Amino acid sequence: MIDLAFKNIMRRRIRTILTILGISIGIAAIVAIGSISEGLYTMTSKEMEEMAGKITILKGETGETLTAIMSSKLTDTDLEQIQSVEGVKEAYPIMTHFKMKVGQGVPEYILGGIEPGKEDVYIGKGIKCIDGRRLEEGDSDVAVVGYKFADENDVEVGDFITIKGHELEVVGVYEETGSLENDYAIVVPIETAKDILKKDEYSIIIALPEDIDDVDEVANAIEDEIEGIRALSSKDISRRLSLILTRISIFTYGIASISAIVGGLGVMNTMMMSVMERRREIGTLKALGATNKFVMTQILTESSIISCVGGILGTVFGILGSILLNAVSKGQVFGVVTPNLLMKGMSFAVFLGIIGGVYPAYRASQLSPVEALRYE
Amino acid sequence: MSRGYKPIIELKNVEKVYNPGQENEVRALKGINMKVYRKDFLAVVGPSGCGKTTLLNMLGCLDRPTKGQVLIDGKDTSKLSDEELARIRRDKIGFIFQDFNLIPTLTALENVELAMRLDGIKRAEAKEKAKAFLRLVGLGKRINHFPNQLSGGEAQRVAIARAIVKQPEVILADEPTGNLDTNTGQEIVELMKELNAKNFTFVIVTHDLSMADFADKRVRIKDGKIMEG
Repeated sequence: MIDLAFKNIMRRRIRTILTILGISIGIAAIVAIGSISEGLYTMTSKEMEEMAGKITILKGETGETLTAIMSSKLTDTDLEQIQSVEGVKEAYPIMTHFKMKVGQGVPEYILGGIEPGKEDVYIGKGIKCIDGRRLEEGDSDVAVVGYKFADENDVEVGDFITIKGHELEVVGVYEETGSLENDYAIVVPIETAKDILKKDEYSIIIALPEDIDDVDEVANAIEDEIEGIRALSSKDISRRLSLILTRISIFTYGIASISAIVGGLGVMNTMMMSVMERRREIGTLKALGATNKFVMTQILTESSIISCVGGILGTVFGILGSILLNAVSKGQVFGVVTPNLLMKGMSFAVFLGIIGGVYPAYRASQLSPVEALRYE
Repeated sequence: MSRGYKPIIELKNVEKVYNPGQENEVRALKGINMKVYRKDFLAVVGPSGCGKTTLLNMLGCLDRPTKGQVLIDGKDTSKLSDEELARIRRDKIGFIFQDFNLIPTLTALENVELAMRLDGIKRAEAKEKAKAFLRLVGLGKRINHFPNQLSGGEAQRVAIARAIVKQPEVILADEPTGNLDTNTGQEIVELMKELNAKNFTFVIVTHDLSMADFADKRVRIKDGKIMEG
């Protein structure tokens, strides 16, 4: 009898509203924080797709951090040796350099030097130019820039930009991708990068295997044959990344779940109070012939309504929170609200409502009618 | 007391002990034998604390006896489960309480409907029947009022409609006029008498001897026992 349940929960409006808020804040936390986790997955899986079948070669510090990449120094000799390893189809050197905006945690630009025509291995195949063109063979002192770099610096095709005192003509602008690496990119021919950075060492070398299925074996062969370098296959990286992402998501969901559980305790508290207040009514219902099961179902229906409304509100708040996070962080945090996430939020709310309602409902159902009727 | 046909409710040597074996043990009923027949208008009278309400709880299957048997339509109920007792209350018994015990969030009409909806009767059907019974108790015009908008007498009429709407075999009333002024109490008693004339069976617990005068039969209780005569 849902109508009766509605009437009962609306009896103490303020208390019900506060309980709903309690649940919705917890669910909002799950949805908003979860969306960041989902965003990380989406972003990395996009990048992993781009990286599939590639071997990333580093020299120097261990780890996959930006500093490892920045401190990595590979020479032309390393490049030749890599190219001669069996199973390697091609290998391209990449030079990178980046500059951060002061105090904002966002890059001003990420410079990448790559052989013209081979941009695919650096910037990703699927990414198109919205204006102008990609690098071409024979290019020198030109650059293709990322969408946000162009937007923030008011740069168009044909303009000149100066990087470390070196003038570059902008020949193309990439479409927006949502990844910082691409959106703040300045992609230049490798020889130009050498001039700008005034060095001959490469940050990384990307090797492509003859057969994509052999990517792990070829990476191992490179490591075995050339001393002091590390070759990470895309499979390696994706394994490590997914481990990290899983840990992040366990951690974030864990934190969000705590607030939702607190909301669930709120439901239990409210239902407990409601049952105590209504003991006499429960006694009356039992005298009229209501079974224990009916009383239990009635209380559970009430707690489920509270938690469902809390869940719906919470997912709405969560979506808004995720949008807000995206806006405030200026694209640094990239929240993606997936249907799966909304399902998770809603089902957790319902779960909490049922769990929060079970004990009060059980207590109510077990009340002896005589005791309950005697209650003033 | 035999009338040659079977009683609706029969108590056989019913004893009720609260907190048995403990310091605060209370022997509320001490071997009660009693029969309720169809069309009875029976008053259970006695001073407060004599065990009247406990007796009513036994008659209404709200509680189980410590010893003895409660037979409803000849069937022993003392060993039945909670669910089975609930079923008997739903099918065979109507209750009227001193404090009316209406559900405050429901209108008069909905309170009466509730009794039927517990039985799974469809809402539309329940509504029609509830209206008819509210008219029967003289409350046809105030069916959409909430309990706090009704006078004590009106609230008790709603409670009576709720108790009789499923035409139970017996209606048990616990001090039904206890919270009403004399005149209103009188009206309620007269209403119950009218209903008794329409074949409803009443057992009324009261300490009010003037009300007991209306009853065809009286059972006097003192210290948990029935006083003869």
